[in-house]
Amino acid sequence: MICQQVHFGQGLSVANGMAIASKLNHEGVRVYCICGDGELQEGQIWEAAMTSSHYKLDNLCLVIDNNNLQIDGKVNEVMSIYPLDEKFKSFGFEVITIDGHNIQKIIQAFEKAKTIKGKPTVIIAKTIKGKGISFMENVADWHGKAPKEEEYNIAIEELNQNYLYI
Amino acid sequence: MNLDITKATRQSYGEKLAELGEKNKDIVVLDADLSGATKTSIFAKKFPERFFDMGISEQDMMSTAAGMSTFGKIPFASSFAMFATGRAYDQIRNSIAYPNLNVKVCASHAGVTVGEDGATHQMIEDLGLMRGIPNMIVICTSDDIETKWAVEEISKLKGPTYLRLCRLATPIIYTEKQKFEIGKGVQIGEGTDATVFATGVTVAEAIQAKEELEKAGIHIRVIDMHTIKPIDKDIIVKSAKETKKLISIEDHNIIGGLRKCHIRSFNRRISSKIN
Repeated sequence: MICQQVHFGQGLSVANGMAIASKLNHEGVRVYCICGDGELQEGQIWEAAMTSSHYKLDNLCLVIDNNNLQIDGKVNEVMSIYPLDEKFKSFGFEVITIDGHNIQKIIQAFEKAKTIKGKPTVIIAKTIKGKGISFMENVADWHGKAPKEEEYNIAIEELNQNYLYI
Repeated sequence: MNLDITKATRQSYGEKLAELGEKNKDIVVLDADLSGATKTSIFAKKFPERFFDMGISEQDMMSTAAGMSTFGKIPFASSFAMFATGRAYDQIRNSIAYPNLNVKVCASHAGVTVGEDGATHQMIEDLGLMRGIPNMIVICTSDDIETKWAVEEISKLKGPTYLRLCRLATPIIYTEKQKFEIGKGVQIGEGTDATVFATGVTVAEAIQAKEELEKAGIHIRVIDMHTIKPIDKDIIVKSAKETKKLISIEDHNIIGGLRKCHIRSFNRRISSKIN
């Protein structure tokens, strides 16, 4: 089941609800939640982090897309969320930090998360926004706009060159 | 109506919830550190494995309830009306109502009758806030019998629902024989001098006023509008045709509350029919 209608800052709470219900139903379902790094500035995320830990949601895996960009600029300049690993550790999470563009590392992290018992896991995936497209990489402006046709064609060409599997 | 037998609708809510928990194992209850006051503590004592105290974090509570409902649970999320609909408005709108999830937001301590809890806790905007959200059904009950009916009814209903409950003990208006229906007001009396529309704690007040007025030779009828959304337009049209005046009393801001529903219904429906 995919729940994608969730407003920023609310996803982890919704995922907690799924993980709790799954435990009640004895379904053995694992719940994965992806959050941006900018939305960690929302207070509700930390309310939810308390809940994940308090209810020992070891069937929950949170992934942070840590590209350090939000609409107004760099996350550490707009409103710093760091140190992220220490914050989540102190909230009772198992913390795994990886290169978010390395598929092998991502798979390893998910496998490790499955073995953690009695607490939730967070994977902090260090990423580059717009990776693989020269004019989009690390540019905050591309947060919420569509490319023009010409830009789209260049982007697809570059992705085809950089990533064989696309 | 016996003025000496009183009970707060929050108490009726807690009792009924604990009763329904026996029959329906999908019911889960969430509270934000106010279970003693919202009376979800009755359920919590009986079914601790299905009760979740979320601490003082209403926003997290609402979104968590939303997540639980996607796995087939029927979450009842309770707090005071101020915190449930005020602090967690965005979560009710976007986590619960937008995806049309089966969450019951049941809030106590609504209105100015909260009394000594003070102005910060006197929620007089909640009906307006909840009415404005698409998919949301809004109910405000007036006594023990009606509240117990509403709790059972909304547990069977699929979709987001707001149930407004009160702190003060109020008279028991109805008997077990009374039939209720969501979206249908209850007419009390046949008087034709005026119609008084009331909801929640003001229904018993309106009935007392009706009895006083009868002594003075003025015969009114009272309509208990337990469902605020969808509003019972038919009963408003009927009352307008049969009585000379329409009056509404409510423990809520006139902006966005029961009165607003009437004006809207009146403008849309009655003006063409009355002539």
